[in-house]
Amino acid sequence: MGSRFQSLLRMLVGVVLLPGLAVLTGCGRPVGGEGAALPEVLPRPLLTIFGFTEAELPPGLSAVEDGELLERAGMVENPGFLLGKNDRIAQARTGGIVSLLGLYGDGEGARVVLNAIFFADPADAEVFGEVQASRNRPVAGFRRAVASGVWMVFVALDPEVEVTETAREDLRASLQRYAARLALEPMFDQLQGAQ
Amino acid sequence: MWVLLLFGAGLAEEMPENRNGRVDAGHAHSSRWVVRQVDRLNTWLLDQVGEEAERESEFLRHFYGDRTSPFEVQGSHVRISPRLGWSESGGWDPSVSFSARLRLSRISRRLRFFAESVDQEEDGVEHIFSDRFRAPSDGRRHRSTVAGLTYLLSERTRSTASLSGGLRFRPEPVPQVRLRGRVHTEVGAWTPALIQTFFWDGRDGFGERSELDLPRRVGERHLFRVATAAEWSETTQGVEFGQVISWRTDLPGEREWLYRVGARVHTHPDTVVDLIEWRIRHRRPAFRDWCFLGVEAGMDFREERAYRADPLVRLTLEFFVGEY
Repeated sequence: MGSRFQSLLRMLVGVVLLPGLAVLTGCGRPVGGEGAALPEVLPRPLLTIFGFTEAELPPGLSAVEDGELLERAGMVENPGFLLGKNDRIAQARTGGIVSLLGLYGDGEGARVVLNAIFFADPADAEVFGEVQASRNRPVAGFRRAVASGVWMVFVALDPEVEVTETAREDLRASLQRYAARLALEPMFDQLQGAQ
Repeated sequence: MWVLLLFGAGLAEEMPENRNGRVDAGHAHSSRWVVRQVDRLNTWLLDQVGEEAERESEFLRHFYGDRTSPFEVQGSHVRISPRLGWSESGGWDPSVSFSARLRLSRISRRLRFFAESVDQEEDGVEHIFSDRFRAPSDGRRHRSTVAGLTYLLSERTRSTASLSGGLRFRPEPVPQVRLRGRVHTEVGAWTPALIQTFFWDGRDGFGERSELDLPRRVGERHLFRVATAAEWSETTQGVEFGQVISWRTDLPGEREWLYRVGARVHTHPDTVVDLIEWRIRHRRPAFRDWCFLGVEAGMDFREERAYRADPLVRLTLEFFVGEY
């Protein structure tokens, strides 16, 4: 009698209760159609995480919305993933797996560009950082190691636009807040080279 | 020279970790310097003649500069090799050789720059198999430096063809051109290769060389090789033949032993064996994967010495920097 009751109980749990819970909670439901659940390779939350927040934006700058400029930069939204074919080919050669850009301007074009790149191999990231530091551009570089690789972030000023010392210090202050939020480690600061 | 050799021998021993770190940092710095120079050369050449295809967008280059070219020069490296030799006939003979292979892939993935020192005497019989331009084999020792460009005309699985043009500095510059084709196949464990080379030297004229290389893997660690070359040029003594038989054993940790016997023959004015040699050589890493120590012993039997044995010993260090 006891074993029949236990069998009935197991059937209720196995056939009715657990499947019912699974349906109610959505467990095992494939994302984006039939088949196994596949996580996004270019997850949109990354754009929010790596883009400047309102509090981090340097004074007078805002996210660029000019569609033509975004197209020239190989983006469809701002911040956005780098989608231009040649850029992706070039990025793959360097070992970069994902690259995203944020364009910030004063209404007359992009004045500050943020580029975050993920490298699976820390050695590739190190070389890339050295290459960027060797380029004659007003750029500040940051890095953060994660379990699966290294994120590198490079924030650049327009090299052909004269920047006041105040504006440069404002940008540095913004970058301090930005780096603190993302726990980024500063690598180099060549923003002074903007002149 | 002795200082260098002692330095090399010392490297083979354990060094304190902090000193290793400094040496590693110094080597990494030198390697990056080589890559940066190749990168600069590539970038400069690209600006002169390159195409826009497959570069980062103008927008990114405007803000960040060209960030990809250093990644396209992989395989570019410089080798510097101090050597101390002793032979009964020549006594002590210190020398330093070098070679550089730089990829100019921003211009074309098939283009290479090369520069190297050539010492005909040191190469012995092997010299007849040299990949590069040859010095005239008039019996005298020739030391020179060659530099130029190689373009891979064809790069298939079983065949390659290349065209090289450059200068030999003796020390005055002499133009040279070389057309080389190589075909290989597999016949059981053998992988025979036929190599045909035509070359022209601004001072020594035309020549051609045919080589048959017969390597055979024996197990996983051994390589048996029989190689034959025949060369004719306006400066060779008729046709020159070279024959080498060697056995190489590869050991873990990039160590190797090589045993080799070889002979060189010329056909004019008479057919004469002008050099017979045997060698035993050991090569092993002396430090990390960029410093190697080679110890070679052997004997030469030269016609000019009435085939009297001429024992020799050589100690060689090889340093590699760049992307090797």
